[in-house]
Amino acid sequence: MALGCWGVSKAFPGVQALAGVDFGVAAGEVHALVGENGAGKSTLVKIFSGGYRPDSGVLQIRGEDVRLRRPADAEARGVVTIHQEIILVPELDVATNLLLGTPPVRGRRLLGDLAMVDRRKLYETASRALREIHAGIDPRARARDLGVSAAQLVLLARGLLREMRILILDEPTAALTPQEADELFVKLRALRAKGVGIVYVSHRLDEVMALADRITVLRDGRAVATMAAQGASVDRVVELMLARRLGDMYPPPDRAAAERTALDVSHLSRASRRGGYLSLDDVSFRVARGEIVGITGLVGAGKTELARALCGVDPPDGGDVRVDGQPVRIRSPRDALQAGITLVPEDRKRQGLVLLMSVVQNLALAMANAATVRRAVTRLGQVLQWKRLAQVARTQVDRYRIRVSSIGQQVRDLSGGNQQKVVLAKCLATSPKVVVFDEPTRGIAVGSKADIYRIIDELVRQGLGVVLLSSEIEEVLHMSDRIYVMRNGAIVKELEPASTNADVILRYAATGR
Amino acid sequence: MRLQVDKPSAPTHVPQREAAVPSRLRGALATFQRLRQQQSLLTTLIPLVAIWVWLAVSSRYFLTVDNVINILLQSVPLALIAGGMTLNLVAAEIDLSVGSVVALISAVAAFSMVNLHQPWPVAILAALSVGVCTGFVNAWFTTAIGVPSFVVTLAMMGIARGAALLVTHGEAIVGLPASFDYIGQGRLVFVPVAVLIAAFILALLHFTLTQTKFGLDVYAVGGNVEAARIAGVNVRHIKSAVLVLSAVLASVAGLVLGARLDAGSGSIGYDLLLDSIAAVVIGGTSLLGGVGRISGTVLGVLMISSIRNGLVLLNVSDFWQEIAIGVVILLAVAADHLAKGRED
Repeated sequence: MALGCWGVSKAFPGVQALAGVDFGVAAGEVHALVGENGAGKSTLVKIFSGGYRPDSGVLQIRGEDVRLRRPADAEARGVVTIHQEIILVPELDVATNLLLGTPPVRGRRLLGDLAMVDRRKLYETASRALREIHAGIDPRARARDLGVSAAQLVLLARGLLREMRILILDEPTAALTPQEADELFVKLRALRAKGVGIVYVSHRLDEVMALADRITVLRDGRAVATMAAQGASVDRVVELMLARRLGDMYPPPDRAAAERTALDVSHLSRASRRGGYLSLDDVSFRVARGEIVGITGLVGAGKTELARALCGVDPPDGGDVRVDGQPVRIRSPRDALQAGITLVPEDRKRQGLVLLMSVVQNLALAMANAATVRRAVTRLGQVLQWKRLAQVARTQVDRYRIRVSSIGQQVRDLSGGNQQKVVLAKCLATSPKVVVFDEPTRGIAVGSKADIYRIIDELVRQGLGVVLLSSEIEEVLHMSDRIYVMRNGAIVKELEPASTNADVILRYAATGR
Repeated sequence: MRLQVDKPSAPTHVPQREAAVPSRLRGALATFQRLRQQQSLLTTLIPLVAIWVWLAVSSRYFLTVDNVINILLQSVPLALIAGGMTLNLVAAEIDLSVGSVVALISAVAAFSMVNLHQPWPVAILAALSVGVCTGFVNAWFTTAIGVPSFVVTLAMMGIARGAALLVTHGEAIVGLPASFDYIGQGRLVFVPVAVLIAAFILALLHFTLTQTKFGLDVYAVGGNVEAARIAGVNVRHIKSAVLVLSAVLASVAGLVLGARLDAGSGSIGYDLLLDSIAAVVIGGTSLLGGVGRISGTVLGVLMISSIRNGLVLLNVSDFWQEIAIGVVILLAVAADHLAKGRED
């Protein structure tokens, strides 16, 4: 066993995150770790990488009992972890990042820690490491200019330089396009062939099936099953994850869109603030009441930019927006909210929630700042009526099945899926006419996904217009009444979901034709 | 030994190294961490009571009615400023100009009354207008230009101090009218008027932070400015408002202090900046924004004032007082970091 643990438990205030977990990965094996949000995957990863110390249990690395006090202890034993958030020093170049902490130096004997960095050797070593994983990355490029995929490769190369024996990846493909993900898999298979043991944590079961040798399912902090990936079925794994049969994920598409237009966008454009190109290029589309319009495209196609422009976060430079036929001028999120457009943002922790505030406070923040509902929850527009807000919060918690200990619980203590539901609840409590969803299910477990689809479906049945921006083509295909494909900031094609398929969409997204 | 690949067979004996009996210290630390995480006032109240007990034992005079009223009276400028500082820190801003503004306001008020022979209401209005102006300047540079408030108010600290010294020619302007001095020295029954003013203002601030949309917006801006903006909060207004409010509160503090000292001077209020940040941090407000309460700040103010008062009673030199306050800040901030524990 290259890396293994027996009976590992870890508790946090109010939660038993792990309860007696046995898990092991052998050299030259990919062992996938799957489970819902809150199942304990990240906690286990942090225990392997030295971020947390287990309350009890044994940790072994290459047959030796170890106690990891800090991440450096794990790295010193050849355990390299690539977390969801890529950690590189943004202002330094790739080569320096690769050899951070252990750069090749001249004159160490004489100068000790003040020895001069041997820059030629630094770039040579870096280039060699990058070549080894066939990564076409310039070692002199600044880390901040790298995309997520390139940054991951830099971390892989860094692992190789540190004699990596075990590689742990936490949701590595969350921010990658399908092509980038495929490239990553090729590299991971090569590493496996070299005898590296790989722990692969992911929500995406199709990836797991394709890549892993074994799969371990975590549920509520326990390892409920370990099986060979060959012959395992996705349905079986999902069942184990949820401990219940999975009904149809997507709600039935038997809705009828009304004739009346909820949102009419014409010739929307915005110049990129970084370069001379257009991040939004003459975008026009319309959404009827009771209709879900899916907008898809590859990462960087302009979906997030569109969401931010519609909701006033990055206001558009030109173009018209009409809500219910009324022209609205959007210069700030306040304007958008006033007009009845609300955004369910992509990054819930950064944009959707104030993590230090409670569920009811987050809800109050949204409602008290939305001109549409302010009067219902405040006196004179300022004094908050906490009793009424608490009532609303309890209703929303029940309605969206948000798992909380109380409405006074801080949202930072909730799992990802529940946090996302709080974001939904707070956006919807403002009685919007149009809801813009930006990647509503990114990084969310299967069980919660179905809940979120159900909520979106309910909204359109109530006559709201929904804009669903997503790079998950399956999601867009199953949820939308109409589909637009974006590429380079422009809409390149309108499609009917009934008469198209994922391949066609992908072709338009990639080539525009 | 090479273990089998297929099933991670559990070893029969699991060493219990991690399950060592936690020492009493660790238990106390854990309790403290839990309380601090729940933002319980106990973490401020217990040390405060401990200090009171210590001082009461060390000095017979400490717990007399006269001295308690004296502590309260001396707390007033600090309490007002710490109230403004709480708002600023919760919104992830800071106002370093408070001590200088106090001096400037006392100087302007005294100059109007003594040198320009204006009646006291005119002097108060003039002084308050000057104070509000400093607040608006701070707010404008912070929100419209985007200079961090740390730098803007650092500059204002120098400007206001210099202006105060200019107005007073570096000397105290004494001989203020008795009607003005009443706000700093007068009593209603036996409670000092100044204490009533401060109590009223702090109660108002508490209400604002906990019961109004404005208060919620302040927490949101400090906790997550991006999420606040998307939720429709006018971030610039909130940041401007806390900086202006802080200047107004410093101005009131300047008037009260001037009235108590019966003087306007460019060289008062030097210790108010350090003390106010100390009081706010001791009261559980995070320097990173998004967390904090007026009730905690009040306890923090009482702790600082009690320490200063008690050390005087114990004949400890001024210099040692500064050191003591500095140590208290260090302890409070260290406690906060310990309380965050190994989270994240």
